[in-house]
Amino acid sequence: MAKNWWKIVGALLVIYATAFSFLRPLEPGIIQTDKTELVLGQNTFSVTGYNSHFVDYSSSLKGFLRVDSVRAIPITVLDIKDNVHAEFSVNVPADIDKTVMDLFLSNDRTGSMFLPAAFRIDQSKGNPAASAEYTNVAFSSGEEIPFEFPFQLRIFDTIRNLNFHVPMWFTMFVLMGLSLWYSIRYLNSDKIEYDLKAASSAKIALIFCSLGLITGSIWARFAWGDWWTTDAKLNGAAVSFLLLAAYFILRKSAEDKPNKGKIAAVYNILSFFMTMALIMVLPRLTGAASLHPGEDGNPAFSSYDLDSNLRMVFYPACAGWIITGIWIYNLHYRISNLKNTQS
Amino acid sequence: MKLHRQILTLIKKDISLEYKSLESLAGMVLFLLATVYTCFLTFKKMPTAEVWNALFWIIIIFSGFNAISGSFKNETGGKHFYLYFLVNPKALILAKIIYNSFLMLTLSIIGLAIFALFLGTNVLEDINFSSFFIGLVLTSLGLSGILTIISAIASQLDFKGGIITVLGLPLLFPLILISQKYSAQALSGVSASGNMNFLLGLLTLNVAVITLSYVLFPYLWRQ
Repeated sequence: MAKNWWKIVGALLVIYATAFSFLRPLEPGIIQTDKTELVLGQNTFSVTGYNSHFVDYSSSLKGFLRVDSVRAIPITVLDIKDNVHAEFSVNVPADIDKTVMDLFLSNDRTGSMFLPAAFRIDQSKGNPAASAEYTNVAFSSGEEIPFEFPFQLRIFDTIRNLNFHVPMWFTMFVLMGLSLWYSIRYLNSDKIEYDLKAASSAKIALIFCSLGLITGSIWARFAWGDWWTTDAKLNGAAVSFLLLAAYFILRKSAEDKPNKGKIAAVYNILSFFMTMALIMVLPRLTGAASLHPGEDGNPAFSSYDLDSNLRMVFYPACAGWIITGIWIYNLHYRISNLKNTQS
Repeated sequence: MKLHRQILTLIKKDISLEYKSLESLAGMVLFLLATVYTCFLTFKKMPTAEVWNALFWIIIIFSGFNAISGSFKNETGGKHFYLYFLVNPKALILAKIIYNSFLMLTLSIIGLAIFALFLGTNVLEDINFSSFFIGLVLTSLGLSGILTIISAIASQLDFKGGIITVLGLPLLFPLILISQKYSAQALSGVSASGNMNFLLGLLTLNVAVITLSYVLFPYLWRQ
């Protein structure tokens, strides 16, 4: 028990992160409006919200279009269809001097919800009403619901995948690092246990790499519309998969050679450094715009993308999966060690 | 013998072996000719410099595999032991890398000529030739650095045919990405000094690859 405490910690962290990721709701937000262009004077438009409780809190529903940091154009509620659909009308003044405006809605439950650059104003159309005027920008806060996932446009509910996709890669990197370490140890010491350790950790790294590819691919389908895109980080992911797989093909075909461990260790060290060159150096060198978060060549999420609620579960998820990965590697090594001593 | 003397002797040995059996060199050139002609048949005329660049590098990579994959075929069996007692493995790998990079450079220049012959010179109109040539030299060095150590690995296996591409291609990704981007710039007339970013990238990658080969090869050699 005393020496197994870290396995319990890892399992608990993974259970916590998984439960959290599936059970907690998303923050309210605005998905889209039916029109993106408004004319001067009277306009009506309908809004699709997310977790927005339009019916449940209909009496407090209000909103405005933000012109700049001070001025806003008030909007009035025409009709509330259900919790996520409502119709509004707005009276755009004739002296409007901005063409792009953000939409803000709020009620007592959700607080301020916000759709950036929701409308463009066509100043050449419409007949402005004399009564149209500005109000002040005012934010309101809703009920405090603990541990909601942040609402982000285009990503929506798939943001939960962050707690699965990213830890897979972190675990893979840790296991690849272990594999490199044991390969170097093996070259210098010739102890068979180091060779077995390098092979086991590379095998578990390959499994986590596949899981990272699958979760990433599904996420990319929802967020970017494609299963695979040409992107520096995706190149890195592909090359780590190919190199890890090639390592096992090499091990298999060198099975009956006297120096099979040396051959595999040399290839493993080579492939580790080439993967690092591709992941760490190339994105910084080419400076290509990347869809993937972490624009500056850093393969992880930047602090900008993570809010404090997400951190509460993201860091435990990473730690939990890394510990679990090391645990699986440890079991795999012990099995292969037993097989090796028996034969 | 000193290291550099050993390297020179080994390079001379390789050159004289190649000269004795010119058919292997002719085979490599013929491979280039056949692949470029296949491109000519399927494309007729090159549409853009981008496609030209991509095809050129793909063909150079595969002729590299063709040329370098057999570079340890003469060092097996009895000859392996003969060399093992005679030379330093570090001299052997450096000699092989230098010899193979000259071979690659020759092949890529011949390849460039064949490309110009069949696929037209219209994409080469505003090429900055000195910049493109520097790219060729550095890529040849990097290609031979990676492929030589991979062929040393593959030479120890029984099944050599397909495995060298499986092992080598993913390792070449970073090199190919950089040199393809560098030469795309050179094709549109950017000078080497205007392309410093990629040039430094190529240089660093070459230094890393050759250092790794130099450090790791003795472990493969000592059986």
